[in-house]
Amino acid sequence: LRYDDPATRAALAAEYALGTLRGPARRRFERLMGERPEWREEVERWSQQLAGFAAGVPAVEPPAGVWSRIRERIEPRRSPAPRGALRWWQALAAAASLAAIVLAIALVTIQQPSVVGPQIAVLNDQQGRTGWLVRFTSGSTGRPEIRVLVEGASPIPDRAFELWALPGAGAAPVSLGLLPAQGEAVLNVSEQVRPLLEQGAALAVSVEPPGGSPTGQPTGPVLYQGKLIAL
Amino acid sequence: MSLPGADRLAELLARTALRDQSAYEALYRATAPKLFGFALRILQRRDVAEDCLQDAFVSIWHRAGDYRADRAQPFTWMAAIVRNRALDFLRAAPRTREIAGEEDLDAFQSDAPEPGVGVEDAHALRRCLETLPAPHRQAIALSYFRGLAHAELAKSLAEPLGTVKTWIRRGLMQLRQCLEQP
Repeated sequence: LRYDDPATRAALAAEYALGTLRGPARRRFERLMGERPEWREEVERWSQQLAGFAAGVPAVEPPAGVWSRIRERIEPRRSPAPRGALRWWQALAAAASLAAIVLAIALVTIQQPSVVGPQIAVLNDQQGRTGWLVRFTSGSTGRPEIRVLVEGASPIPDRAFELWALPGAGAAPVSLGLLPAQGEAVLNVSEQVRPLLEQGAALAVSVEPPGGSPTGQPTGPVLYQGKLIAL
Repeated sequence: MSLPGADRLAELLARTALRDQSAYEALYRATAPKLFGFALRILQRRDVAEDCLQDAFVSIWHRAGDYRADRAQPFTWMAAIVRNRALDFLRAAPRTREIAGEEDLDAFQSDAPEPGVGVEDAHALRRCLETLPAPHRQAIALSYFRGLAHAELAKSLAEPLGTVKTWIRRGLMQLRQCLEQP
């Protein structure tokens, strides 16, 4: 199967969006979609067009009881908060949805000068699945460091994942080090990189040969992205 | 394609992500009738469609922060959540009536325009579906509304698997050509 053939891609994207692409073929397609933005865009286009089916259905007013049951289900639970310290990534995982909120606020407020203190980033793939959780500590707490926890990333045989800070404004990405395939890792942060992270840099994860990029710049596809935000 | 009202729905979704319950309620009021109609169409049972809508909206509340405005129109994103949930229900309790012909375009209509709920998409899709041979159109609609894979479609339509696969493939490609015309 020639995946790069436009007609093949179009056919697979269409059947993916429709749902008739199943089993291993569907999983293979999802993997490729994560690596190739133009595939994902094609699926998004199809999903938009096929949503015309949903939009074309006559509207029916749901009974009032549906809304009140929804309200009951989204009310915050009244159970007491669990006692004891959570490990930082548990708190972070709980904060993952909060992070999206904080990010939304961060995007609309004027950029703060330099933020010092713990910052977090949730690194998601293009389907919104979380691969790593990142925490950066700096400031008066001692040596700046990045702690990384594998959340959902699955290893690729004979490949390494490398973390990059993206300075933006056309500047070249700066390597922060290799990411662990499992568990947790600590990455040291040089004094050169520190100010960049303290400003809340965008982060990206690329796929590289074992040992990391041979060129000092990302050479493989960027699979995960996120942004550091102050907690 | 920018839909009228899509920006407003996107704003309501963003505020929902910030746990703004009044925005969430406004989002529900604006989209629930269309989405309930959609769930009913898939499930064909009012009680199940109500459960489905309820689950889908709880999910929308929790996942609003995942919505990416650059990737999908708000209604498309919400309809996908409803469809996935409805197809889950359908797999758990398949419809008793299996009448292939019911997925025709007769029920496919765009009623009074509701801001943001994809009326333009509905018109464009309908116009292009009408250019397809009936079996192709029917196979595509069946897999969309019932979540049927090729083999299940073949069974439902009492046609050979290869034939059904061809219908779907050719139908989708013709649909694409039509939809891409300005």
